[in-house]
Amino acid sequence: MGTELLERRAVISGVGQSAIGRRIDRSGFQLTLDAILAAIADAGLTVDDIDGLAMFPGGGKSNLPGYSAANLYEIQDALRITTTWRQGLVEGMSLPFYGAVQAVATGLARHVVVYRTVKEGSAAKKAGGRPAYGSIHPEAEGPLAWLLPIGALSPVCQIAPYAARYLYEFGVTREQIAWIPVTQRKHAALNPDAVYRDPLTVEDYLGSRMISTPICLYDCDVPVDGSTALVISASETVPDLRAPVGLEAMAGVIDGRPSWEQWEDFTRVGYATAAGMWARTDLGPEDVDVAELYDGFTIEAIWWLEALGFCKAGEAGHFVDGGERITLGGQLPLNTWGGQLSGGRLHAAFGHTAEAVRQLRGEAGERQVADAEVAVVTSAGGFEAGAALLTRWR
Amino acid sequence: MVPTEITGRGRVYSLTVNYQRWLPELEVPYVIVLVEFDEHPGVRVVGRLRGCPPEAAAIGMAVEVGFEPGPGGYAIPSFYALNR
Repeated sequence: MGTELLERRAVISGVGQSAIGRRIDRSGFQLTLDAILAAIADAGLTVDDIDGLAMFPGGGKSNLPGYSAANLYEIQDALRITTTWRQGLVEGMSLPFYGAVQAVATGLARHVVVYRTVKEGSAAKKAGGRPAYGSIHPEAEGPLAWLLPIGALSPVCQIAPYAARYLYEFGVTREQIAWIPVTQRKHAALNPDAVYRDPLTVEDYLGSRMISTPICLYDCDVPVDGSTALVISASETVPDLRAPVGLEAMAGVIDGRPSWEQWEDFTRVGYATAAGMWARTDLGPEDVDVAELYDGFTIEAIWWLEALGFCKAGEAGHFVDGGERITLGGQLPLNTWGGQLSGGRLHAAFGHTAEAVRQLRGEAGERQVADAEVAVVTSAGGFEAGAALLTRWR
Repeated sequence: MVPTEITGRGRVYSLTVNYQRWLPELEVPYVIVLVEFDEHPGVRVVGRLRGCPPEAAAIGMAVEVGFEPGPGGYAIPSFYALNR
């Protein structure tokens, strides 16, 4: 790589999280401030150093109750800071730090706080179960017009036909993919902040109730209340920082039709994004020490294992079978914090990024991957897909 | 942009049988199918599947398009299983 890439002019300097749980008796505003103040202290900075603010999603826009639980201007007001750059996106690059990296790399800001706050645990309790799309959108419009009338009332109904086609084409079995939630639960037991920490077995998985075939209860992430904040800093500020983490490469490519039902090949998701990321680095899949792969549903982690080249198309079932390759001490420890399946749906890879930073700093406690130098983080699954390679700072 | 009329038999590209009662009056289970048409490559139509028990629904099965009444007086695309 001859010319310096944009992402090399930025570092992840801080991570912070609020209390995370099925129900946390604090407002989205309070949870957000808890996370932000923790992230700023973690970076070795003070509140007055922050001159950029970003959230996901922006505009208070919400497709499900509790999906977006804090307002950017209220947060800036509470912090009493001056910002030279702000961003809140609904449509856009799915990596949490994509815009913030551009802002600090181009000098629009020096230290940007990016946060994501959910109150989906409380919203589910209020609704008496996991809310449906239709519960807050009485009229079908936009993409929902194709979903609501036929009863595709949840993201589960959208992702399920992708999983069904994958299992059909490759002959992968539910007994094999069960090892992803089972292994991640084992990791969650080592994470005091994870929501579900009791052991889970393959038998538990196969015996759990079906939500929308082939997706069962344990294939779905768990709605929670909680906030994650990241601090993204310009690389020239590294001397001021406690423990920065490097950004080797990042990408987010949409190469097909951005539509859940028109997407060309349901078995190949994230491939263009993965290729875009690898094209920006001399590192390859064999260099990755720990993988924090988006797991809103089990099938999404499977897509990423194949798209990123950790195994070939259709071979992820074999790759995860038995759990040995994807656990601590294995070839590719996967979602070492429990992932969204057991750690909680902090969404849009905020939980995944926080964990990658802790692993690369050697601050992951009992679940630390020995000598972790390179981590891959992915966000979302489906046509909107982001991937980044993070490295230990030298 | 000109609308294209799609006729003829379709084939199920993928499907899901939904068991979760997302809304209080929702009747479950029901089958959601994504259907492709040999004569119209590059487009899929989503709908419910009728005419066979949910457990008989399968990828690759032949279906015929139909409509049924939906909310607000609109007609909703729906598919009927053939040869079952």
